[in-house]
Amino acid sequence: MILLRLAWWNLRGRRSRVALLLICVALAVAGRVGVGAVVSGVQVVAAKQARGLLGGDIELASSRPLTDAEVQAVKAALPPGAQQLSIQTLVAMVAVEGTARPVELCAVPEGYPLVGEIVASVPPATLFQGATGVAQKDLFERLGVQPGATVKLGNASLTLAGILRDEPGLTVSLFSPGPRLLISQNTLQAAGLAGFGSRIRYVTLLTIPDPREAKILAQTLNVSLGNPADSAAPPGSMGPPAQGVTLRTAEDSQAQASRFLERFADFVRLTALVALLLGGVGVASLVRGHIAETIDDVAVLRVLGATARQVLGVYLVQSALMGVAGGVLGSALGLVGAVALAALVPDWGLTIGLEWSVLAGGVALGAGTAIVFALLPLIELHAQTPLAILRRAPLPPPRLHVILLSIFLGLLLVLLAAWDSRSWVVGPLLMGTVLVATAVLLGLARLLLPLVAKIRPPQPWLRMAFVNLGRPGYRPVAAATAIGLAAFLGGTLLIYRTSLLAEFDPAKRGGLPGLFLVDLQIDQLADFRALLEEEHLTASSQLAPVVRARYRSASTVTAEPAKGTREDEQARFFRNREQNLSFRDELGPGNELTAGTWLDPHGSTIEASLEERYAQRLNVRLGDPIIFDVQGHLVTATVTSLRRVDWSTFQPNFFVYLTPSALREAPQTWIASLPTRPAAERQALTARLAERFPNVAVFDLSEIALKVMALLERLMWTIRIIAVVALAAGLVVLIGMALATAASRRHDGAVLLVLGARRRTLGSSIAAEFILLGLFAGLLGVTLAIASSWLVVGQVIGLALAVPWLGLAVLALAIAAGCAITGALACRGVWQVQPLAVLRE
Amino acid sequence: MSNVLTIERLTRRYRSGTEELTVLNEVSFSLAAGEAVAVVGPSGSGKSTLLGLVAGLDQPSAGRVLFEGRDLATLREGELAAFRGRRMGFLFQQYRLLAALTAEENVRTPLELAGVSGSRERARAWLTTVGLAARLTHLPAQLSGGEQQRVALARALAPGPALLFADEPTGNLDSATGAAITKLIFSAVRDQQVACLFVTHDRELAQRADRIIELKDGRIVA
Repeated sequence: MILLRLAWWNLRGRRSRVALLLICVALAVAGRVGVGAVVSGVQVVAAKQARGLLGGDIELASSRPLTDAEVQAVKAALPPGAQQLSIQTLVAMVAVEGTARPVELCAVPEGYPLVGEIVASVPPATLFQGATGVAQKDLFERLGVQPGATVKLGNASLTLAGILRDEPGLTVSLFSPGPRLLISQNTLQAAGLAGFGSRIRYVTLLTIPDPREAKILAQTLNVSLGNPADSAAPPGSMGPPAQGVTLRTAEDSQAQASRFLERFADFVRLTALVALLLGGVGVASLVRGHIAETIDDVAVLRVLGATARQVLGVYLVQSALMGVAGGVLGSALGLVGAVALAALVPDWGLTIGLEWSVLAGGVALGAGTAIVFALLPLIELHAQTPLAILRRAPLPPPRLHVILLSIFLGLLLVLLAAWDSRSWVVGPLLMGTVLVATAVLLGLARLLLPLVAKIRPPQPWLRMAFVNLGRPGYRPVAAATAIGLAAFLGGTLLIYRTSLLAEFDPAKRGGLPGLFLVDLQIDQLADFRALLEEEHLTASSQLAPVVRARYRSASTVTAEPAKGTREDEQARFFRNREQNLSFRDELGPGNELTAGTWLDPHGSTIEASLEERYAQRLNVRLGDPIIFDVQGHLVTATVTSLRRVDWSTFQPNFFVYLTPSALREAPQTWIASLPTRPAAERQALTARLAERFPNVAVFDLSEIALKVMALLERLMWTIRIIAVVALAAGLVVLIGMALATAASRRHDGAVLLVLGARRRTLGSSIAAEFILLGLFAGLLGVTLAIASSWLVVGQVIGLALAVPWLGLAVLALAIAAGCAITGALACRGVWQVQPLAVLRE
Repeated sequence: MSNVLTIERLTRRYRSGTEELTVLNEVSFSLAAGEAVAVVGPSGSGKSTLLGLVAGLDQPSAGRVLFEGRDLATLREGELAAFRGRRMGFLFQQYRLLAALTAEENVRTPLELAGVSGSRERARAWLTTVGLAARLTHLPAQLSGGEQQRVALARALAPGPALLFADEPTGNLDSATGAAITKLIFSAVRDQQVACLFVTHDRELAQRADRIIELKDGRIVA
């Protein structure tokens, strides 16, 4: 009880410091609570809408219509009262005079959907009145037409009757081939697309009276269709299955729909963890300042008979109290942020509720953060004796304890990052980078700031600014580190963004293709090559065969855990997904052999060349056998080479090449890349291609690049948020330090006024001091960002490093300005000081 | 001998809640160059208030302070600051050195604020005069109390002031060190012809002044 009372007494009258501590803890907690609330909301919504997302309880998909035997098997397994209907989906081109665009075409029968509804600007029945369709708004914008316009779809003239707003198949998808277009199955027949060897996905949707039975029915159906009982469609699959029928329940579809959001949430959770670290740095710095302010009380307490442990207890109780209060504040802020997000994006339909477990977690996190980060300065205090304090001769901190505690903190954060990201690579790498950057910044600030503080310019006001950086009892290193970290994160973001933009800029990368063609049939090749000749594109285009297959491990099917690390999930995805195989005689452009020798094009044995990361994920090494199910035929190859692929060339490249003779006769389609051309020419060429090859999907790479950039921008927003949190934490630390030195600053201000200084001189000196500190931290952070980006972007990722010098300079100056304003406000009492009052103290 | 300082009916009142306190009541006196005047009196008699008003650090409620013939109340902030920097020197009981500056830098500061050239040489010369030639680069925390007060004295005298204010200059020092500081102050008064107004409780120090003004309840009683 005495500890609690002493803790309370010790905090009284220190409103500013208490407020700053609360802000730091709240900053540390708010992000995680907010993300937790949003993810929980997303899961609730996804669970509610699962049936609607799929359009039924179970989906059967295949690359061909179901055989009679399969139809009978399904019929036999269905309980009474079940319903079913079939739809077809494919990627097709829609053309209007002079331009053409790919669409995700969905041909539906009357009565579609079984669950949910079509929401469009015209009644859904319109679809079945002649050759009409409804499409997402995007298509109208891309073609430059209005509802009611007539467009060309294959051999048919199609009226785009209205705008499609919602339907069961519309899910969150980043890389959909194009806007969704709903037509009737009669219209699909009329367009002639079904007969052109297009990759149609045949989908049968089932509903049953009791949706809870869906999982069991799916297992029964899997058995009767000859699949393993627990098999499911691989996530992210866009095309039809290579062979057989795959099944998906509404629950599977929910998992897939929310997977992207969960991945995104993992990333945001990691950024929130960085915010936690920065808030913690702020807590440590403020507690250190608080100890410095109350150090005499510590000596008195010790003289009065308190043990060192009791004194430590007083400060720990204080930290815990602050942590709990900050945790409540941070949880409230996080929940308010989540509610604000739900209001900003009403389309998501998120409902954010007050969950006591989230609040309790936030409070526990706040208390934990405050206590753990306060321990660093507290173990230094623990080493002091009353005499050392009273003599103003502090004993050196127990270095070993400090180092061990720092290592413990770092490990704790790395483990948390691994937990959050469900990866031993992604999370620890990000947190490790931030921790290393923090350590480097701390080391450099400790080394360089004292040197900067020794500079003595001739102007007295400027000299005072430099002198103040070395003011006794002032600890600008912590603020410089936190602010430098903000500059590092902001600078890294700018450099990555500029480098990526430069990578996608066709003006800078002349070799990038402009158009990408998918689904060329083998019997269209001669005609296509003739077109390339006519357009003088033969030399600059690339053509490659695609053979659809599925990986089969050498051993029999093994049971895999449903959940695991991110890497397990990726490996499972790569094992289960349909794999595009290809063949070519020589190593293609953008490929570099890293092990083994390239396939012998005339060899009698079947060899495989794998992309090195793909091989890693499959755990396959040079010389291992690898088995693919090529549309019903098992092909066994020996891995004879590994390759590094430069995917940024956007040329046709593959994870797997096999010896040509193994695939030449297999059912195959071809893909092609055509060189970039001015936009108008590109559009005209797309239209000519759509006219001549109506089944071929033509993608404009500049549009894909825009989509990629839009995704990157979304990810970068979260990094921007951490940079802002870092800056906020840094500025809070700065305010804390300014407050800790307020008394000595007021004293010096009063003395300078007495010695003839003007108040303006004092103001200039203070502003200059904080500009100096901000510039120092900003330049340090930006320099570190350039160095680390050179290492990661240039040496590891292999992109050309593009440094936005102007942007970085503006960033450093903006940080300096932020510091100047914050510092000047925190020190406003100094230039408003009444000298007589201070000198009488 | 012309007056450096003339004080006419100087009054200072403070409001404490509903009550108005008169801490200095119609005090008048003058001070000539090379003259040392001691202000004595019990605690709360108005000594420090008088010093603050005379130094232009506070505004009188009534009366005026003429410094070298100019009414301090008519000066703007910049002029007052310049006046303090060039024509007045201050010596405090608590030394009031700038903790982050070395001894030399402390002495240079008022010189540079006043735009005086050759501040380094002048600072060094004054520090040598007060016996601290070997302590130029020391921070205040590295100096003893007596040494800190010597630095403060060098800082006060370096700009060549017409008037030196000293508030209990030996109050924090042992008797031997206090005597050394007193000797330095009176040497400066004599050699530099500086007028000196000092507040003290130390009767021995007060006896060395040319005149003693005794304050009681804000009035001059002797």
